[in-house]
Amino acid sequence: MSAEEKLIQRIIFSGSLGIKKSDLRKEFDGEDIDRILQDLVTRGDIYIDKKGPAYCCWHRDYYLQSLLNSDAKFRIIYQAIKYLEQSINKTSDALAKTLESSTSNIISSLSKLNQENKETCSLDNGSTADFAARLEEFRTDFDSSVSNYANSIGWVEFAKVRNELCAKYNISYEEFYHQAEELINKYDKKYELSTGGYEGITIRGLLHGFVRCV
Amino acid sequence: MYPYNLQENPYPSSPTPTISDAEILGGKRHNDAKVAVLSCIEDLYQKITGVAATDKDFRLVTVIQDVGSGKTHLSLHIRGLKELSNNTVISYVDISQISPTDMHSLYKAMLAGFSDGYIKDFKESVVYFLKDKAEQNVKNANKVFRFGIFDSIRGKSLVTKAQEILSDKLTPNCSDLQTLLNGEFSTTEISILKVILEGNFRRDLQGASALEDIIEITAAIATLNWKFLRKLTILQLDEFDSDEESLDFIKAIVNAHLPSTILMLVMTPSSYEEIRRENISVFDRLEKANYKIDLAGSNTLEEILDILFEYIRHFADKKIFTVDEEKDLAAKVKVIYDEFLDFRNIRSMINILYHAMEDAKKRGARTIDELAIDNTIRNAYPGLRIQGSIMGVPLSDFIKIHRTSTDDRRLESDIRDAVINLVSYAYENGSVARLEETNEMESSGIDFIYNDQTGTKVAVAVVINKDRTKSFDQISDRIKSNLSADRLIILTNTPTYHNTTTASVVNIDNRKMIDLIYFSDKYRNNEIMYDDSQRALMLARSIKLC
Repeated sequence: MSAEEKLIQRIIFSGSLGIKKSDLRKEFDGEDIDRILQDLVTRGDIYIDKKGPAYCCWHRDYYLQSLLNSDAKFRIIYQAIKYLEQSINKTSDALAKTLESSTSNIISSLSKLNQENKETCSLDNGSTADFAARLEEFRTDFDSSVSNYANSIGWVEFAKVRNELCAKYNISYEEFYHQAEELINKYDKKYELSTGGYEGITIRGLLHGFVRCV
Repeated sequence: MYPYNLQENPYPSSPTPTISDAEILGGKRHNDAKVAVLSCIEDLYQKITGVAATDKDFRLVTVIQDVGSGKTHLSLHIRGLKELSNNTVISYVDISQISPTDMHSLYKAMLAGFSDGYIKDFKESVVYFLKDKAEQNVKNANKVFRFGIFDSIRGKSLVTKAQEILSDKLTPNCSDLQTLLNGEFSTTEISILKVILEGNFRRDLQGASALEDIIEITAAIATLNWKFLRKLTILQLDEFDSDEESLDFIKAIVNAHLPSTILMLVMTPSSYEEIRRENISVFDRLEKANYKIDLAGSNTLEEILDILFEYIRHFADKKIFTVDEEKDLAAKVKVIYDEFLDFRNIRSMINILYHAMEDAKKRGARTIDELAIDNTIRNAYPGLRIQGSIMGVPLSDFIKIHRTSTDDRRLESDIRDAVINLVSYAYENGSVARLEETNEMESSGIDFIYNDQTGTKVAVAVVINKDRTKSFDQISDRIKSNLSADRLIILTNTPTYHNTTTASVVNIDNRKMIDLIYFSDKYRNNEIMYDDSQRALMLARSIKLC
């Protein structure tokens, strides 16, 4: 066993009480005690601190206990930190559990949402296709109705067309005007609207109750 | 100096046209309508030239179109046409300015509608007609001129006397007018000639109390217009509606078949329908109108553009307002027309260009630029927004981007870059994971891959203006065989019903594309503000990127 190892063993043996540097010098006479101790301090294996008038050495495993035993302020601060640590640990645990639960919920929700999105996309496309087909059919009947009811210069009251198409399609007043608006927006160059009347489509805040095919 | 080197703003600022505004008439439909009216006038004029006008020489013209379509403008333009000043007498009446609209007020307004110049010409013609009679010693014609022996001694001639009457220095003696003109003119016509000579045309004729008197006087005026001036009488009644008395008045005029007269009724389809409900007899007469002027398509883009350009063409040098300048302005107007349903009428467009001209002038702009239109929309119509724009793109940027997005290749490249920038921005904000760097994308049709929040690997393809069905199938097949992505998003600008099991087809319409390019420009230039940030993430969500 080397002198350094013997020295560490001796310091460990002294426990939390520590051992005076002068005593070590006596015990290990003939060895370069100061250099060995300096190396051990540098490596963090031991601590050297003043205890009363003398310098004492502690092994790193016992130095904390030495401080707790000898310094009341340190002990209080240490206990406070310990309490805080415990509190943080508890909170962290709770947070971790919550996060874990939330994450699994979010993942589950997102998966559902993704699935729904896919389904909606598919439905949307389907309904869009249906709507387009319906709009074309509606257009044919709309044009036919306009043609039937139009006066000599082509104008016709929306109400007349609405009456006929609502009955034919079994749709409400609102549905008719929704479809009519879609139709006129899509084929805006083929229809002309005129203000007045008692029902129709509102543009610029003006009720346009007359329509004709251009 | 206004844009295009104009000395003045060519656009009127009044909500309805004035006579001077109406000197300019643009638009194919409006010019076609003008030609139709001129044709009616020409036809009638030729028919009665050289013969006496009879009750068969009455014409009815209707102009029926929506409010703001240019009916009043057309009527006033026709009234002011110099080419018609030699063969027509026009009385323009705006019925909306008359209340109550009974036969008396309508008749009074009709008399007031004749210009002072017409009354002066009429009087001159009558005075010289009587002078000729006096020179020929017809009955006591010289009495009208108070021409006596002393006038002869003083060297005054009948011509001098006639000029004194015309310059209101001499009051004519009309006491024997009835005797003088009896047999040649009706009693009513002689009464009119008398009030013309006395300078009380409007005042004295207003006194007619019964409808038959009113009709008789109106017919007599028309007859005299033809006899003395060789001019047709045109009665323009604007804003004609279904008021009961108005309808009775018009019915009487139509039934009376006023000689050498054209009655021009201007109304909306709504008024026309109401007339049908209120008075089927009048409606039937209107249905049988000789000319039905139709301004169909008066609110189309082509018509509006032509009208707008006509104002500039009227004042600007052709070398300055060139075809290229027209095209440039047309592109800007088209954006307004397409994006703002409210502005699809000539009245609104003229108002916008009026303000744009003023704005451009203040800034010293040589043309109406995007900023002028943007400023106009913001100042004159502060509540307006481009419909469907998530990024709140200002109109000026919207117009610029819109104009540069005509090249398909460039558009696709710009959209691709914009979507990559948007995903990168979403990554910076923690909405998605980082874009993946992989060689898998080469020749697969996939533009980039990233992981979404759930860890799903998403491949994105941008397909602009291509054969969508073919492209989508190819991309879907490739992703199945080559790529390790869980989900494919195809962003396309063409509405499609196509769908595959692995691909989500997301339609990005014109507005979304402009939103993307606008965002991308801001992102590249580090100009994203907090508000933009929220909008950008909303834009990303709207196209299912996060």
